[in-house]
Amino acid sequence: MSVLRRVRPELSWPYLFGLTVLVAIPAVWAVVLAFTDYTGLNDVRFTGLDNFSRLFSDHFFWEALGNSGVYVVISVPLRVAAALTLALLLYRQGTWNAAGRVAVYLPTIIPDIAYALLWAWLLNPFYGPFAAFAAETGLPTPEWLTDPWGARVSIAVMGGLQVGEGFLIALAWRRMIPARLYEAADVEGARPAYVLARVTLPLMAPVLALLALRDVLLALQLNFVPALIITDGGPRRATTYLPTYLYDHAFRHFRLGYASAVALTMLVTTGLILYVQYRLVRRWRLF
Amino acid sequence: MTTEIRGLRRTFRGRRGSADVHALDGVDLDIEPGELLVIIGPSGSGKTTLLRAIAGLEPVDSGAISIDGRDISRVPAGERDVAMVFQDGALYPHLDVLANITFGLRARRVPRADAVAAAERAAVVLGIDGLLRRRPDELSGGERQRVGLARAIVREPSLFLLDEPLASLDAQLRDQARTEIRSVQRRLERSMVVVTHDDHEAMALGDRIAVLHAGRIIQVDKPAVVYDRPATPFVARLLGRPAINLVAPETLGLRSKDGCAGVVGIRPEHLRLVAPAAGRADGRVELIEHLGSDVVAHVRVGDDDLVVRTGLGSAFSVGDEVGVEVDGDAVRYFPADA
Repeated sequence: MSVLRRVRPELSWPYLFGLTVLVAIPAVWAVVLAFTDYTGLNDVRFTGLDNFSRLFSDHFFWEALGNSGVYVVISVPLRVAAALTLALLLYRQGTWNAAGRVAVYLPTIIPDIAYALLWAWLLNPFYGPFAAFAAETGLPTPEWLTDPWGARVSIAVMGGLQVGEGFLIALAWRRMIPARLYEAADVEGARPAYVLARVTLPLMAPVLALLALRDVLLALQLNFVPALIITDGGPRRATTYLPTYLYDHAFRHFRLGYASAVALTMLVTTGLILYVQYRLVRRWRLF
Repeated sequence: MTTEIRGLRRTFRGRRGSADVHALDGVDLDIEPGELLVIIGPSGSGKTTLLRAIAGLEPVDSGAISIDGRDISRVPAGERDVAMVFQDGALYPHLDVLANITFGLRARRVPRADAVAAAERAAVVLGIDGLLRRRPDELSGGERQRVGLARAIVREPSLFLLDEPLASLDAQLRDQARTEIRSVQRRLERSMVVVTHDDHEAMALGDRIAVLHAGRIIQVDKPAVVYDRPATPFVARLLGRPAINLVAPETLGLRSKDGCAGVVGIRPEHLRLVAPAAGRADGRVELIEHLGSDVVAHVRVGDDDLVVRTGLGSAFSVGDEVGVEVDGDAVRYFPADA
């Protein structure tokens, strides 16, 4: 507390300035633009709810929403399961586990674009290692990125492996469970599977719920870079997610007003999903 | 069901140049059928390591533990037929009391109805049958302790291990819980090992007391014997409050005996204050402490400080010159090698 008291409030001014200029003003401006037909070149003209009625009747919007939903359904369970499994495998002290923890965290600190390019190479049907392996062993080469479902799953798996932060949170939580509870289970003669089901998982449940909430939020935004770099929304718009859809309208067609309406819709949708999840978690009394 | 412990050793390697710690340095100990054995020792003496080694939670470097002739020193904890009660109960916070008690039975695939019936019986014995639906965070320290004990009881093990069972309870509850542990053990007629650092608890609870010091058993005997005839000055100081007086025999006007160490032990209750020159030694009262049922006088005799237990109506006060009389039969001469 004494440290906090000594911090001078002036120190927050650069941050507040950045927050205002880069986040608050654009956010407010976007809400305003959502009710206009602004393109960046014309005068701001209010059109009421026109953008929204066009949006809701746009087949491509519903498709993007569906793709985002598919992405969430594949990647969130994958991410939570990966973070949990890796945390349970690597929480103990030791040189090998320490190396393992670094390896798990690495994909998360690689810049998104580099990570996407790496996967574009890994999945390349002509000279990628997966294709080479398939050719070598006589397995068929799946159409990872040219088939709509192949592309959907590929992009979801890519995001599913960047679980560094979730992994760290699960790891820290696992380490907070007192060792005595496991020793008691040992003396009681409980087998590992029983201990996992009756002790570890229930005690980890709050952090898993938290990670699920956070990952849903993240999953609605995080697929933008791979979708743009690797598939450019294709094939046949299979990886056109809400952020990709928004980007196309804002920066390819310069329909800033319309794109703002998309952004606002995304915000409300995300908020609703989080609210429902939060209520469920509350009902299960995990927090 | 006799438990035999022979030559048990456990060494913790010193890190970064610090010396190795011999937590168990060749422990030999027998636990008789149906007895309550208390292991007492100061912190760091290895008593918890010994208990954990018996439970199978701590590997041993050498030595053997056997129950009824069956060597269990390499057997996994869960297959040793022992139950352990941890200091705070080690209850599962997400499970209610009933699920905590039946945890071990369910882990061993005992049918649910049987497990619940056993838990209810144990809960009645321990007076926690009204708490079966509560979560551990809704229980008091004493209740948690009893749930931990109930969890051990339902397993019906050959040997109970209790690690400082009363340490987390407040003074009032402690006496009550002690009596309860004693009566439960009597009723079950199973062997029980209780680890403690509290001499009072050890003497009140144990059929026998084993004194552990630096990883070795120094003395094992009935509480009264360990108290009256401690094997070493260390054991003498460990039991009894106020602590025993350890002085040179000459201080009390005694002659040293051949083959004995140059120190004798005499408990405060075996000294009396008398008129100057009327006792074996003379001194000056430095301090008088009122301890409720007791009054304790600290008397300076030569270079030594003697603690004397006096009656409540003692006529002496601080600064008085007094004589100290000794109950000669109660003087403990220690062997020279102690």
